Amino acid sequence: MRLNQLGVALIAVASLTSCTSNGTGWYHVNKVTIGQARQQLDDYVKESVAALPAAARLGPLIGDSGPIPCDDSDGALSTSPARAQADNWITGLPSSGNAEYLDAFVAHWITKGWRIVDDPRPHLNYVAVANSVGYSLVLATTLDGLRLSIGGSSACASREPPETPSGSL
Amino acid sequence: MSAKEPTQLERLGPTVGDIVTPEWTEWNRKLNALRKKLAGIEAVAQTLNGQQDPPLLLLGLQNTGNGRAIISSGNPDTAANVATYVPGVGTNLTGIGGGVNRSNKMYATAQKMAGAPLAVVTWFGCDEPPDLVHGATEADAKHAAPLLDAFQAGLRATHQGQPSHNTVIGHSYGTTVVGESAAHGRSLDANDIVFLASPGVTVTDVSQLHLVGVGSSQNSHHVYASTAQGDPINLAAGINGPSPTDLGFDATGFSSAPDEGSWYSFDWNLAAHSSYWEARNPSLRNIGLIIAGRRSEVG
Repeated sequence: MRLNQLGVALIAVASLTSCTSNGTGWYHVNKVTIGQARQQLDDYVKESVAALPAAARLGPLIGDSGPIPCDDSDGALSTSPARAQADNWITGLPSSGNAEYLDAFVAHWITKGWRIVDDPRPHLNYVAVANSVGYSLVLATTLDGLRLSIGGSSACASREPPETPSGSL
Repeated sequence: MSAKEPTQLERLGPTVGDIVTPEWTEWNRKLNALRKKLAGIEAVAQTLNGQQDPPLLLLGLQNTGNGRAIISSGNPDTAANVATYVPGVGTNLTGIGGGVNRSNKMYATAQKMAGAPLAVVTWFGCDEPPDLVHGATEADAKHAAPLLDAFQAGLRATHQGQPSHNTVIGHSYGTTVVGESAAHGRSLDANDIVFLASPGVTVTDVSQLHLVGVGSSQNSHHVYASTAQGDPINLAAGINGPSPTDLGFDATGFSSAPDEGSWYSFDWNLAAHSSYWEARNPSLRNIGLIIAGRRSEVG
């Protein structure tokens, strides 16, 4: 039993390592750099805030968080394509409108062709949307309902500039 | 010497009259090992210098083995919630920046759920096997287990004020390390443990795990497990014991969405194995809730 399992696993894992070591494996890598992906993500975050009542403002949650690797094969944590990250508080809004803020956020991105990918409401005030090229955004409140936050991840992006001019994000 | 700068001997090449000498081969092996360690230490320095919020604290650095380091996002001595992230195969010190970024994402997510002071530790405290082919045995985990046990005990001992809520999160082969650290006569000082994308954790069910201060009858409420449906690690489950996501293992499961894309005609997608920290993935919010000690909201 153990040998059979080991054989299957070795085939699978050999496939994993050989197909991802050059960063062009089974996950989709946009032909943009992480810096470009971060800029696009920041634009999506700002657009999300603009879809909320006018008093909404972005505030710092953590500092400039670095990209998260898209590949765990040998040594790839430092070299693989990676996803840019964004995490912010949203200030300036009364918490009494939390449910409406999440609805407005979803409505805005649905009209842009995004889809809901995680929606544990009403269990949690939390909703995630994603577009077709790998970007995702989350609007949520703290469990006590007092603070509103927005977070996001970009598509997998290259750590190096592309050899040819990049296409659209 | 920098990690990449060629030496004069290297520029001269390995041959004497087109014959590779054993002496050169051995010298070259040692040189590459040293370069790898040096690159790792440079990666640690670069990571520590690149972030101020949350503050990064270097808790440990060793040049033994492939090089080891432990970095905390936030102060674990004063945080109410402290998590330790144990990465999987293929991890070496040059990738510690990517590991810390994952910890930062968990830090931000837990902060967004509960808001309490917290710390997330990136534990590159052992030599992980380079891939699952080499990680198909428990040997590396047996070597790493006492190191992780000692670290967690140290976290508890140095904490100031009320005891913190401590969580240990293993990913991939890191789950095998975490499982080994909590079994076979060992106890892991953690209130909760999370197995993400596990190839097995060296035991057959939660009753064989020992968490300090947690009765074994309560383990199913303190041991969490999740693997994305399309994660190829599912093919490796059983190598180091049954998957902790199996119903018979009796851990608390939570959802992890598979990543986009298909893997030819199969349902496996390598991206799923690295997608647990993506904003869209329910695993991220669940990890944040577990770190914050909000088990009733996990799902």
